[in-house]
Amino acid sequence: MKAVKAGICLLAVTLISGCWGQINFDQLTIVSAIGLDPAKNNMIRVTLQLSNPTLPVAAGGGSQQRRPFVNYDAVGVTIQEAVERIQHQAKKSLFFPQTKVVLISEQFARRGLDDTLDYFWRETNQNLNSWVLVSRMPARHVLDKAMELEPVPADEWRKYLEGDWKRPLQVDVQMYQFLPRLNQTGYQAVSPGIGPFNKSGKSDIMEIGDTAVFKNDRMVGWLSGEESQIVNWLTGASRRGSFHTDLAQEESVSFSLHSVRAKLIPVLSGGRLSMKLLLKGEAEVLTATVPLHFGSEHAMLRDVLNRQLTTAIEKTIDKVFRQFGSDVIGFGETLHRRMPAEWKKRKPDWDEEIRGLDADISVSFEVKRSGLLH
Amino acid sequence: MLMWIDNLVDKRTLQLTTLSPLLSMQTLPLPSDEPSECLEELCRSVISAPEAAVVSTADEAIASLMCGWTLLFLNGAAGIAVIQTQGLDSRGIEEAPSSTVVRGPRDGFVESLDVNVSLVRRRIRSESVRVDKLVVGSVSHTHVAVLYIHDRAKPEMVEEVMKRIGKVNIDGVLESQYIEELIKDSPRSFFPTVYSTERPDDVAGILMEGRIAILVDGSPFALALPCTLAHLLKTTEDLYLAYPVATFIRWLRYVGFLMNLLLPSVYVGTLTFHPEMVPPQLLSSILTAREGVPFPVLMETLLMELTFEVLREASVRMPRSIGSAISIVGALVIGESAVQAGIISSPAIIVVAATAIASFTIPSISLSGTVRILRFGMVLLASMFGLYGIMIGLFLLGIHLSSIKSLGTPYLAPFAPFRKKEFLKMVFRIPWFALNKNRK
Amino acid sequence: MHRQQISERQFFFIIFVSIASLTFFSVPSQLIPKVKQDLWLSMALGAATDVYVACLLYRLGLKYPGKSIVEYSRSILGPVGNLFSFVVLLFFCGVCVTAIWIYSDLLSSSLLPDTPLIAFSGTLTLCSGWAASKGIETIGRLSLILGTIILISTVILFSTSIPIVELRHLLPQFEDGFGPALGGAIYPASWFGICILMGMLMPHLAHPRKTLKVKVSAVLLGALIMTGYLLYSIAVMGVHMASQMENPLYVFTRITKLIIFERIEVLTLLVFVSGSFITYATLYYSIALGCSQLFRTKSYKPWVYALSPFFVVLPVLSVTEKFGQWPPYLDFWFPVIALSIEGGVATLLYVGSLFRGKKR
Repeated sequence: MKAVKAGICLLAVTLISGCWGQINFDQLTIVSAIGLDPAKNNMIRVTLQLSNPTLPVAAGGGSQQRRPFVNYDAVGVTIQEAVERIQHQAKKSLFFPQTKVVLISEQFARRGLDDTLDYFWRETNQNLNSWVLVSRMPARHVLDKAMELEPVPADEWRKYLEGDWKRPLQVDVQMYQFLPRLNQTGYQAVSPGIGPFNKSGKSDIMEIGDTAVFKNDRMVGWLSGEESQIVNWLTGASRRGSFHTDLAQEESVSFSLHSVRAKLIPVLSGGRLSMKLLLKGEAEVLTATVPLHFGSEHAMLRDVLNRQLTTAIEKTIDKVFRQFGSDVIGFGETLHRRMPAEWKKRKPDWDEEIRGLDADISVSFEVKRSGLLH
Repeated sequence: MLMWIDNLVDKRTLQLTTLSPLLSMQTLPLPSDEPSECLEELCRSVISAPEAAVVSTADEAIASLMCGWTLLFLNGAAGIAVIQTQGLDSRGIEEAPSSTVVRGPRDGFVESLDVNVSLVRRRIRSESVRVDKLVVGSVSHTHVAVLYIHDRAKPEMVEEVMKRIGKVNIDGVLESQYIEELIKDSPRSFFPTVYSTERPDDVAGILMEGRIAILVDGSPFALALPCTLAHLLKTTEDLYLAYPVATFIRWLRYVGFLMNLLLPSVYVGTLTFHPEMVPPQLLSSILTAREGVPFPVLMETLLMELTFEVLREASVRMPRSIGSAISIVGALVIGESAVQAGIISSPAIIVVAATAIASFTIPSISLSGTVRILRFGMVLLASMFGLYGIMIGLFLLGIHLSSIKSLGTPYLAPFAPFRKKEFLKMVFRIPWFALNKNRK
Repeated sequence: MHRQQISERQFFFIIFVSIASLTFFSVPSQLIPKVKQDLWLSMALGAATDVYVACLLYRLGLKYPGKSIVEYSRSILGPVGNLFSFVVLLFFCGVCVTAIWIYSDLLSSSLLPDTPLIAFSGTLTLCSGWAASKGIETIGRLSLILGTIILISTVILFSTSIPIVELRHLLPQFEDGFGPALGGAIYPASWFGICILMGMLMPHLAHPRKTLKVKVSAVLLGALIMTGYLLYSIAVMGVHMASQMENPLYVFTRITKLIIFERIEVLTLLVFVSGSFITYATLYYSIALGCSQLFRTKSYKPWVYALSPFFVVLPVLSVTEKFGQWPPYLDFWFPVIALSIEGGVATLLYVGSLFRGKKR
């Protein structure tokens, strides 16, 4: 009986004292985006976009007068330090687990990320499902100036990146996919870029497009939309796509591509490694600036498509391997899977290896349909 | 000499069965010269009451007198003749107010034991239905009847029930609840291990299943043993509805049971410990709705829960005419005004209302009461440890439930320990044609 | 004394739940960094070792019907047997303390970050101790329900995370030969080996002859499901990331989404927490029962109360300070000691019983 009484007392004490670990729910403010910029003396400028909770429009929240979001920024040696500074400015308790996007500015990415981003692994409250974007201008400006249909721009970006309807010209990467690839030699990181579409006025329309290519933890360059699409095919991230072929001078045919399957095969001949790439898929004619007869010109269309695709892929691989020296298509990992022993030998000099890598590309698309016209 | 208690006998019966035969005999000679024999002869052939006997002691005679029997003394006779002239007024058979049905028989038990037994017997016209009568209560001398079907109920169970009732030592029994508390297994448990019902068809069903029913004179509530958690979540009406509908309703009831137990605590636990689990849009809505509300989540929920319980208690005992006024006050004042004044947030109201509605899906009143109490415990645990606290609460509850038994049947019976046939019967309302096939 | 009985189904679920929840909390951080993609082989070997121990215990159990391991080790080896059973019980305690420590450490770093360790070990001991004092029947019944919940939630989790799985992360197999997989097998084997609990539970079974079949299938199912979890977490995150996490399974469930719920890791964790309640309750019951048989006390219940302070305090105090920071303990000493006790004791007892049988 005494034990029961003691237990009740203990319970009362813990209840009254306010308990451990409770979150002060009413002070909670959702951090919808994190921006990372370089600052002087190797420090980091962290921008947090705090969103003001709004009632859904259906519940009469459309006409609220409050700012939908506020940006705070601070400088620190580590992200944690800067976040603590922001805590003093914002006064609310910052709620990270539902962060939608993490913006890394191009300058910062080019400086090297690895020693700072481990914060996102370690901190329990960080969201591993947040989307990573590399911004062409300072992340702080992007967050300040962005204007979207949704009140909080980060919400819109997340929905776009998450959705299936986005074009395959777009790579997308979540934190948990991005982080390990930063120091994985055989499969280097990529990230979609974001930048102003037209620089006019106070608020800009931000365009998500292109691809930032990383070499280890450093960003080395950009890939255009078309090149991103090829990277997507080669990594298996996307099976669809579209392609424009030039038929003649100022005449072109656009295809939409389905069921694209890429196969990377490492070939070893006499101690020399080369890459064999097989790309298969189906195509459909979407639009043509010249009158076409599908039946008779079918073979011609196919050949043109395959030829021009091969050239485009060659160019992309050349750019990625030779110019950037970065293995974003994961050929190293393919080698690792296929020939583990060979990979062990070559891993230390993989950066050099891929610069001199020969690629044997064979593309075989079938033109299956021609839309509603024949 | 005749002796009766005026308020307990049915005057008409007395007149017809005792007075007129005796008076008409005045002119005739006594059947026997020996007074004792004469008395017996009178009982046997003159008095036309359904029951008449000769008892030898005054105690027995007084006990009968108190039950509304008439005593007949004959000068010089050793015994006393007791004549059944009992005439207790009883309310007519009405629909049971505690459990109404849309489809199904509408008669309910009344306060008279005999009527109640007849209501059950009318449904099972078999000679194997046994009614064992006992008298309980040192002052009240209440009659208790134990009903069972002797070739279906396990003899050791019947014996155990008889033993337990025999052990009851109490002054008076005014309601079957008295008996329930005294004979139930693990009496300290919050959970009812005895089933109670007001419906004769329910009792008939219970008897057919081989369970045992107890009827107490003066109470329209019959008790049934054994009773497991699944029995408490079942209603007789399940059997009167089409099987897909009944199965669906039964599942709703299980969900309602869990919601009733857990909803407020999950609300508190999630918001105060794991807000990241709430989908972003929902979190944003809750945050806006809670803006400016002075109470923390825990306090708000507890406050609303309490208010609701008070409202419910207030409306239960009110006459019907005032009851509607209470619901208007409750709905308007607490629902509308509190939210509009910004004292209480609407999510809290929604949670409490949903819990309340869920609590009405539990058919058993006693179970629903238990869950109401446990709900508060769960909220407190959730406020200490969040969802982990709820887990602890559920685990402790699970241990408790799986350790208690009702008359030898584990309380979580068809689920744990798992019994396939009964489990299927509990989870689905198996249509009769399928059951018949199985029997073949 | 009336002996409490459990059915085969209940025994199955007790073993299954124990294996699943012990593996969930302890094995991943040791196994994934060392063995990587080949961990299924380690798990299979671990299960095989356990089947071997189970066979021995089964034979012993049939030879001495109605007796627990503590009781028959006495009749086989005499006073030395007492020492044996003492070692076994001590080992159970050690396992309990280690596992509670790992459990509270994970919960306090992920589920409730600001809650002191003692709150976890306290609540765990309270729950499992109460269950243990109610006896094995109660534990068996509850494990039926919880085992089903674990199975269902696993199926849901696996099917919802199919879209984020990349099977190529599981290749190459046997990158460094079979060595790591063989060496890594000691981790699952040592934790699976907890099932020498079977020696304590067998006398409670309704049909002892079916024990082996039931036990082996439970171990296989448990090992299968946990291998599924481990491979899934590698397939989702990739070896590189998975091997750096303190508990990759937790991170895997964090990445997975269930319709609109983005963070279901708390629920998964809670399901396994409830599983560990059952596991510790069984362990706790076996320890208390074993103590009562060893010291010949009438009832096991006093032991439940007497042992509780140790389980609350030990994991928090000494273990955290000394063993937790001392990697060889979990990486080397614990598995080695565990295996030698689990395998060694069973083998020795079996050999001893054969020897005795011949003498007669």
